[in-house]
Amino acid sequence: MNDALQKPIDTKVIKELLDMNDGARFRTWLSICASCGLCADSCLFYLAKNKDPKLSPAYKVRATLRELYRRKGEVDREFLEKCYNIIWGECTTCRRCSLFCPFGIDISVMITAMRGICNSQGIAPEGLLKTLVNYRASGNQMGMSKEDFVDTCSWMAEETAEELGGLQIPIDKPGARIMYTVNAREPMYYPQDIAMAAKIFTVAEEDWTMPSTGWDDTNLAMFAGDKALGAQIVKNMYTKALELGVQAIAITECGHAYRSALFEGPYMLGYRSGKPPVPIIHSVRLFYEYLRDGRIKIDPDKMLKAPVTYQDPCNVSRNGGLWEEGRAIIKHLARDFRDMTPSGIYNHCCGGGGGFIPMGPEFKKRRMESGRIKAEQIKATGAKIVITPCHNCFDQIGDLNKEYNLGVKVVQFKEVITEAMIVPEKFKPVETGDEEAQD
Amino acid sequence: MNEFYEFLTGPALWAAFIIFIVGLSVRLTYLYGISRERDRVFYNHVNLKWAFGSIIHWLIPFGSVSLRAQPVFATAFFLFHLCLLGVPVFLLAHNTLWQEAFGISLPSLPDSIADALTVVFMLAALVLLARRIIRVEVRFLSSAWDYFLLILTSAPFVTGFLSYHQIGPYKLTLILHILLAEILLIIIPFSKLGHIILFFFSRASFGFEMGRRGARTW
Repeated sequence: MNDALQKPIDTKVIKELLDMNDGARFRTWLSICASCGLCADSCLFYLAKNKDPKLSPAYKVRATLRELYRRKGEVDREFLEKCYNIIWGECTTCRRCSLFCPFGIDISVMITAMRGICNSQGIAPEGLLKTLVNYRASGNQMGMSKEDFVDTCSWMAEETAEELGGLQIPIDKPGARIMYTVNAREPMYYPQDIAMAAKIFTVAEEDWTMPSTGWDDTNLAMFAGDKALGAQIVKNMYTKALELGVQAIAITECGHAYRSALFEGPYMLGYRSGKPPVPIIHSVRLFYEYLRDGRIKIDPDKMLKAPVTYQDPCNVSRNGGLWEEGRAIIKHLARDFRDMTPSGIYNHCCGGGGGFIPMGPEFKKRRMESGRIKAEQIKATGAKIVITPCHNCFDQIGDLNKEYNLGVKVVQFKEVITEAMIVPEKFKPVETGDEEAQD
Repeated sequence: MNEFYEFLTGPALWAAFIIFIVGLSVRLTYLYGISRERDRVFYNHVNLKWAFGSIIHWLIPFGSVSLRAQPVFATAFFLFHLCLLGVPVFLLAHNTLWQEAFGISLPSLPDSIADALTVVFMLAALVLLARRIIRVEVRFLSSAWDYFLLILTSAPFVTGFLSYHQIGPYKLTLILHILLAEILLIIIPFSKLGHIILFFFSRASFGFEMGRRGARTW
């Protein structure tokens, strides 16, 4: 939270937002909750904090949105500050509670609406607000210029072509089959992620391109409650895809990017159909197809031998429908796979979702507390390697690793696939010709 | 007292049924009206398979993960609803009244079974009440209104049981039975008990939302 805190609350704006959301779903959800408490046991915050009843999902909505409707938007800053702590500090919008609710009440949607209301009054975590400035200025959360991004891609293409002959990272190639979009952290801090994706696409002989704009598929405005900016971010991506005439937009190994591009984006933009103008495909699905169709083959000798577990990102598995694909990929990659309990659609959020990771130091302590559930889950599997196709899960488990001495290595699929895949002769770089002659 | 009985089984009964049906219809119509623009997500992804899957897993006993985790509650929860719907509709005494009023009636349960189911219902209601008090997270969420509705829902069964067995003053228990049932019918459309209809819409909505994601709908 910041200086905006000094400004008076504009209840007119709050009332408008309440009215906008006052549809049949909210009305029904807020009125038929039977107070059965089944949602409590679903929530990692509740479980991690000694079953404090104030952390049951039903209560979190009652204390915030329902109270706001009851008071018809006539609230003061103190009330919204209390909400701030609940909607950002005690919920990752992971939607696990909805699977536990007899009515399928969608708590995450209501928490998201509440975030929008707080945001309208300048109340949102500092860490998220900072990225919004970057999105506005540059279209990506890191504030990277178009030139820097394209340079990074060319640099990665040059470096990687030394390992893999014929490797290219096409930029803005019209009519490509897929337009590959990334998390802005990749060009900024982990450019090797882009290189690894390029290797996989090269070996799979994919017709792909990276866009020079609209390449950041993250959407922290969605988590900050800034719907207008969230819509603009998605639009940048859609517009570029339509301009290039690609068949689909591929999403990097990131959970919320998929949620934003495929499920929330069309609604943030107010598309009546609720569908994106271009098909969206997540990396997990894409890699699954490559392995299933034999476009990528794994060297059995290079399969992971250490015990492996899989962290289902909420927005990929439970809310993205890809929990089976993720496991199918692992079958190709690991000899000793140990699923967590619970797993798949019932897996717990890592504690880093819903914007928690970029929310910064202010929330770190809580993130580590609620992450205890995940740490215990991982420990129980005895795994030494945690695979997760999500940047936020990756960071959170990395932090948990230190906090709880898990002694695990956290990796994304890209890393394991590029290490283990069979590179056909035609992609072997020319320089290695001598070595091969010795075989 | 006889006059009051006549009133309860005559105009009041009509009024209760009409308020029940019209109340629910008005609530549904109103929700439909405000949903057209604000709940596009409901209409955009309609798929009967998703809705059906979402609903059926919560109708069958232990069909969902949270109920499997609380088996005692789940059993009580299921029996409570089953008897609540089944006993009043298929009770011989009620069907006789239908027969007298309209000349039509539904098949009836033998009285001994209806009686046993009433006992089952009362036990189930007690479990639900005890759970509401004992489990911290449920007690924390429960207001006086929640307790009132649970007791009100159970009251027609208790009084019906008493009057059938002629325990206590028969006339009084019978009148209370009818009166409480009518109050219940009137309150249903305007309270969380509206879930007798809204359950289906709410679950269908979740079915569409998760179905479009290629995800599990229950």
